[in-house]
Amino acid sequence: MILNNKIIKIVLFVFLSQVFLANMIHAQMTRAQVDSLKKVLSTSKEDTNRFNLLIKLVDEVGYYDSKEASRYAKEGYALAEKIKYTYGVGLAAYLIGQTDMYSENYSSSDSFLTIAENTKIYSSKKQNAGKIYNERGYLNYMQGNYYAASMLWAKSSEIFEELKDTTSELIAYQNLIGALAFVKNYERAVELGKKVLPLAELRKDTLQIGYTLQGLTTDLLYLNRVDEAGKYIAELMVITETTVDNNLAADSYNTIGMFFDRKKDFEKALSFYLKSLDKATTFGFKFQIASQKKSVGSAYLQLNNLPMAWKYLNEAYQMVQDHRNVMAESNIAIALSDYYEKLGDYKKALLHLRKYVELKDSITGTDIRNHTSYLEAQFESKKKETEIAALQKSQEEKDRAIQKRNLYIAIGIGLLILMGIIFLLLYRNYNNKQKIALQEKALQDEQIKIMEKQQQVLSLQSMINGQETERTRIARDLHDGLGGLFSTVKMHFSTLQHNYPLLKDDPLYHKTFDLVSSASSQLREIAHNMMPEVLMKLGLVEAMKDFCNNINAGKLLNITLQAYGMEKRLNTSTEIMLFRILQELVNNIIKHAYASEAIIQFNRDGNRLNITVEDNGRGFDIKDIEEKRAMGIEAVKSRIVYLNGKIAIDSRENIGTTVMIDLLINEI
Amino acid sequence: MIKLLIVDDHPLVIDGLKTMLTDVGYISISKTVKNGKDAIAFLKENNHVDIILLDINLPDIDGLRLCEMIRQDNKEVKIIGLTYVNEAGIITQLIKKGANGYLLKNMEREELLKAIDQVMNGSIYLSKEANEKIIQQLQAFGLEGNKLPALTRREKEILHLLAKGLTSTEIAGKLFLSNFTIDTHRKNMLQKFNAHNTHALINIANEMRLLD
Repeated sequence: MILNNKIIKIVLFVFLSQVFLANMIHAQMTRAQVDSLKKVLSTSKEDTNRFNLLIKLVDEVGYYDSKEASRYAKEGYALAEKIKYTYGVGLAAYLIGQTDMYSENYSSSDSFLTIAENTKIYSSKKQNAGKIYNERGYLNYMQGNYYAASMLWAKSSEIFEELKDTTSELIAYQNLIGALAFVKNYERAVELGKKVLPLAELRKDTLQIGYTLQGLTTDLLYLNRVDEAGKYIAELMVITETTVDNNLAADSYNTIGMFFDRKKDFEKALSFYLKSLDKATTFGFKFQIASQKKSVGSAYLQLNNLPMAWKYLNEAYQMVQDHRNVMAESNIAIALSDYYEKLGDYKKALLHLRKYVELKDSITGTDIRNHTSYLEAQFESKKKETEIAALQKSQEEKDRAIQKRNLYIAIGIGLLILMGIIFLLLYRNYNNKQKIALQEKALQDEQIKIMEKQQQVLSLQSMINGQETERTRIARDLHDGLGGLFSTVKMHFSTLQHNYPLLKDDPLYHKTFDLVSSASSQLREIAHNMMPEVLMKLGLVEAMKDFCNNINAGKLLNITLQAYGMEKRLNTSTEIMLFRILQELVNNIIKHAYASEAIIQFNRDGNRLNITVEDNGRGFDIKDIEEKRAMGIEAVKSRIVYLNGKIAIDSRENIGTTVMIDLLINEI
Repeated sequence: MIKLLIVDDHPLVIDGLKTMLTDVGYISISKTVKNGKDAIAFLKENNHVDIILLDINLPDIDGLRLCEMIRQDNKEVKIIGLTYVNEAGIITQLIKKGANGYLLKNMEREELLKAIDQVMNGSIYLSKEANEKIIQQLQAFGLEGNKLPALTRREKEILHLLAKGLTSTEIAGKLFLSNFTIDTHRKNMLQKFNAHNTHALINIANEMRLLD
């Protein structure tokens, strides 16, 4: 029997995560980065910079060592008082309240939270007030005051919602999911979890993804939807293995253990429970450790290893005695009862069963109270569902806005490049001068790296976009301007020739006329290569038809063109980009493949577009193609990256090459 | 007298056309307009013209679309497309939209007169270069009409393995490709043959003897 203590933990992880997440928009730091921060700290002066550094350390260290984090917070508090930085006093007090609570120093936590609350300059910021409420809720929760906890949490999520801050709002939804699990409404928790998961993924926030996945999987397991839970296990496993957040790791390992438990693979379940216990031990939560020990003990019991089962269950039992938590106690009581039953000691088994029933009765009292919040939560969840949809929409709109902005930035950066490398050098020089404080240096280095990467992508995008716009413009100018001029000259010439027939016999006239003719057709050819009119007017497939048609006329290569589902045109820039890609691929085939036949095939199905280009040429080894050709392929690849697509090249010697391009077309 | 409407936004080209037609006694230019809107307005006023020389790159309406619009209201008038480009796709589209002829703008006087003559006689006139393009395209794609969809080499391989009853994963392993790629090929074939599932696809392929 899997026991109810996990319910508690679902709520626990959500609120624990919120504390840090609300502070944190950046990614988690590695241990090495934290260590370098500590080094910077040892040399820093007593000013706000040092204070900020301490706060950063609290955030980062808090993931794995709450006691150490608490020390930094207290140092920050003392410093803030000394340098009369009132906001800092509030912030540090809040962080002490938080870290002390994790160290189970509840009374200290309570008083520091009060200080934070009374430091108006800090708590008058709504975001901070919300965080304090949330922390108080958690504090009450830890002490078994579930009713007070749920009230405080409701209040904090209300504030976050009001702030319309996506990060915190997302967390508010996660709270709700936790609360739903707490009142055993797993169905709704799963529903919401599934909606929140893509949002977290959109934000690429591994911590949020991790917590959401963990909650979702656990809820599914409670609903006995084991197969469905199995779909998330692999992803959860990856996050669990890589996260430095021990709390997340402990909970996730427990969930994975539970999964195998449900699958009756007790050996595996045991190994994950042990990992979870290991993580919980480093994190140092007594009743969490007790719960994990109980899970391990129960798994041993399933494997009929009675001595080990006893060891863990007894340890759990002892730990829970110190830490009065009825739910955990009752869980362990029933596990012990199972144990004695297997041992054949029915008297003791009965004793523990009675205790379980007794405790259960007292829990039922709580359950009735919880029922009120259950009804509230159900009402709330309906409301939130629509809000989640709205949030998703606003996220998408934001993305679109970002895309638009990116375009502007791209244009801006294009100009920047034009202004030349000198500017870049000056810029870097300037930056170097700025790196006075070591702490700043560490941060700036990181930023520069990110910016450089962004610049690369942006400059590529602006280059490609600019190139095509320019080509279209030049082609049009050639047609309309110079082309028209040449045409007119020829028209006049031919009229002249008609009016003065003798001119026909003049060799100089003849030569001039031929030259004008030839200039006119060369001009047409150039304009066509710049930007085929058919591509602009009739679209990609027609343009490809023309293109293949011209190649086939040369008799060297015969290209078959097939198009399925391409009735609707794509947007112009995508069409141009794909046309260039296909041009390059076909040119590659002509230059390098020595092929006689090729197929170009378009398959569009809804948003999905697949393009296959296949030849029967000599093939090549992707690893060692000659440089020129490699460059061509790189150009194709970068264009596909620009289109957010995928390319797969599969080549076999003397049989041929198949290139597959997959794109998602974003059109409504 | 053959009455002409010239639609072109390039004043020099209009000038050139006028020069070529000055001495031709049987042709008169009724009007020259610079955009599609004016052309339609002129025709709406019940002005009778025999031939419209229509530039397909106009500032307001796309020439192909304009050609179609004119043809809808007037079945009699002859339309000769004028353009600077010589691309088969454009030429065929223009004829499809109801044009009677197609001239490249770098034409000579004789050609223009020949084109006017031929369309007045009810035939279709394509400039020499355009004609070559069209024939090229017909040679390349002309037999395409009722042809079976061609299978790529990869598709053939995968179809054979599917017919043998292998799963996508097994095929992926055999051909050293990803599951995703196999699935894409499979979906592409379903679309080509309009089949709803793999089973139906294999049946169709068997009927068409693609697996022999």
